[in-house]
Amino acid sequence: MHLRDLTATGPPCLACHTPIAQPVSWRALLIPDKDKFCHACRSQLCLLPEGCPGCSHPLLPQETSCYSCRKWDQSLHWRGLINQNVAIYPYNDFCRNLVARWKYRGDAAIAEGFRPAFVKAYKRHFPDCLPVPIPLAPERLLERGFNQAEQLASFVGEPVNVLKRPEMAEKQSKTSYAGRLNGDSRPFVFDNHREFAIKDRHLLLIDDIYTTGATVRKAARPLLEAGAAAVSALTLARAVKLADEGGFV
Amino acid sequence: MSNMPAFLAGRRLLRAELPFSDDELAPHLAAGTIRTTPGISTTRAERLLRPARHFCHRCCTTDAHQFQPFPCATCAAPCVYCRNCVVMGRVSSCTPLYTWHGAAPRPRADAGACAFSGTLTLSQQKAADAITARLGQASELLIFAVCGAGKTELLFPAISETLAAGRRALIATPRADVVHELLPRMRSAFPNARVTGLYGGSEDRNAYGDLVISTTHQLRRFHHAFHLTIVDEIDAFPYTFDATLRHAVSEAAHPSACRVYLTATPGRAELARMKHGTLDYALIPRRFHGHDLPELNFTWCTGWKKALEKQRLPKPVAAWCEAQLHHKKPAMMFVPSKTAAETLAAMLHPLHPAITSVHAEDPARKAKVEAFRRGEIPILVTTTILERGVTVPGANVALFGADDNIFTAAAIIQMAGRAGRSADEPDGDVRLFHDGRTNAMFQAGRYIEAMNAGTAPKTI
Ligand SMILES: [Zn+2]
Ligand SMILES: [Zn+2]
Ligand SMILES: [Zn+2]
Ligand SMILES: [Zn+2]
Repeated sequence: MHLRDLTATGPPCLACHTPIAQPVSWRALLIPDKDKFCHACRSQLCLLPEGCPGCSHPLLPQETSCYSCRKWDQSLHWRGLINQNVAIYPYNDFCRNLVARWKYRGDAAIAEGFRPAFVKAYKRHFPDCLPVPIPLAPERLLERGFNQAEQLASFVGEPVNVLKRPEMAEKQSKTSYAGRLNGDSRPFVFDNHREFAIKDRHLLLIDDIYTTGATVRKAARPLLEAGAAAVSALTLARAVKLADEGGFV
Repeated sequence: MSNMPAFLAGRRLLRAELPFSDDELAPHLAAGTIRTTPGISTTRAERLLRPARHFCHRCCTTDAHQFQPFPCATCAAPCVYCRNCVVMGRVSSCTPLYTWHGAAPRPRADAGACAFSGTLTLSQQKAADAITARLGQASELLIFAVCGAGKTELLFPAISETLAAGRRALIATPRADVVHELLPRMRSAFPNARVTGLYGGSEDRNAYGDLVISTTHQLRRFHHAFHLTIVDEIDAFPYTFDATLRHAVSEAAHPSACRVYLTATPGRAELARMKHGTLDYALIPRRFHGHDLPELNFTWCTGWKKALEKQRLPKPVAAWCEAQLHHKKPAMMFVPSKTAAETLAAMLHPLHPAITSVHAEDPARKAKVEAFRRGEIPILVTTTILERGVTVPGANVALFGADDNIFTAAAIIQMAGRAGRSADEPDGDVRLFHDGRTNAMFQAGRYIEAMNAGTAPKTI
């Protein structure tokens, strides 16, 4: 075996399992590349550009905030629940596939590939916030064996598990946007014994996907009622729709 | 539930794969007819340099990269799961696997009746006898048979005898299309047996089978089930017939099973074992129709790489293709890469509008192969993905850029094996367009010479 063989291939890519090619150089040998995805997979997992300050959705040139955020702000009931949501990746086909394998297939190690970007976004936008993962319903947790949001939260600090999701409300993904917008269901409750942990703190809700923004808003309400100073959200991906498809609905 | 033995016998499954309630399982667990074993076993870490090592009992991998810790909600202990087989449902340190230890269904007394009426050639018969002689004892046998030797037929006597003895048999193959192809043949050969086909998404997944035809992935759900285990094309497995897979085959096989491996091009490990006498083998150097393997024809094609870049069609290649079209011979043109396939097909297009290319990611791959089989495509330009499986009577074969590294000796032998398959047209042209002969080309040539002389080639 040549030295070249030793340096040229690293551990397998988390997404496609091909060994990750390492550049053959002294630098690469001394400071190995920590990326868990190969070059081809990484290039499909592009970062969201600077977008809507409220939710990271890409904006048209003349816009200052996106359609969805404007809608939320028009509603007295929902306005001001979260300061902002930062999302890292657009929820495109590649990302959807990867998240499905991670969440539903239970391939928990895939999250490791998201860690560097996730930690970077946390340090940049919410350096002093307490990470609060969105909880799973007990039956979901039993089925999946782990909570993907808690896994993400653990990358940036000790997860503060102050939310509970008592029993399965009607399945989130099946209810319509309008239904979710108007529905005043309270799927999350605050764990009453832990007010001291969040009093006057800026909390950061952690979730995998921001679709309409209803989940993080519903989770923010009990936190604010329990005495949190403010609530923001950091999500791995943001569902993206282009304005020419008739706005985000 | 009455179908529990039929469902569980010879299998090793996750709790989520069992369609039974806890109440239904409890009496069996108490009585010991269902037992659980850990999904992953872990050796304790000793010192710094020897970290804990894991073993996945479902896919039998020990590769450290495949075992990843995760925040398990079921157990508080440090829990790792196996990424190698996670698509089949996650197996982690705290996941038990369920096995059946009660009375199991068996093939009916008449299940061994074989409806195959053809006769075997002399060497086929010898190989078939070699298998039947080993039935009932823990043994391994490699059937070293040229492409087109008629491997399926020679399995009938051994399968028949196994089923007649009230035992189950397995044919494992790396490719789902082989399952599709073998299933009807086996069903008509063994009309009284329950023959099931297992591949991702197949309907037979939960049914009991006397004779099971399975992809190697599905094999991982079986445990000590089969007294005859036949593994087809052991050289075609991803990363070849590696230790993991051999282990999985032995796991699915009964401890006293006869394990039969079929191949035209054994890997280095098998050749070494054959040479040292630790792996018995039966040689079938002739095709079922009794004719020689077509010899390799070498044709210089200097600068084929440059020619591709400049979109120039090399003269000898053009001449060969024209000859195929003129004689109305279906032809497969193997090329080293996807881009080469597309460029070459575009350049050949003026010769005939139906000439097309196919590669691994081609969404129309299946349709194109079917069209080629029906004779609608006169020349199919393909990457190495079609090196096996596609058999068209009277086809000729060319390798473009045969000196490329991708054409290993085994690959060349498999590709050459596409030619001259039918008894009506046993001679085929196998043409290698090259820019300097490689070792692989010489080796493939020596293989064909040796087989035609009736002897086993020493290296591949
Ligand atoms: Zn990759
Ligand atoms: Zn927005
Ligand atoms: Zn495994
Ligand atoms: Zn566990």
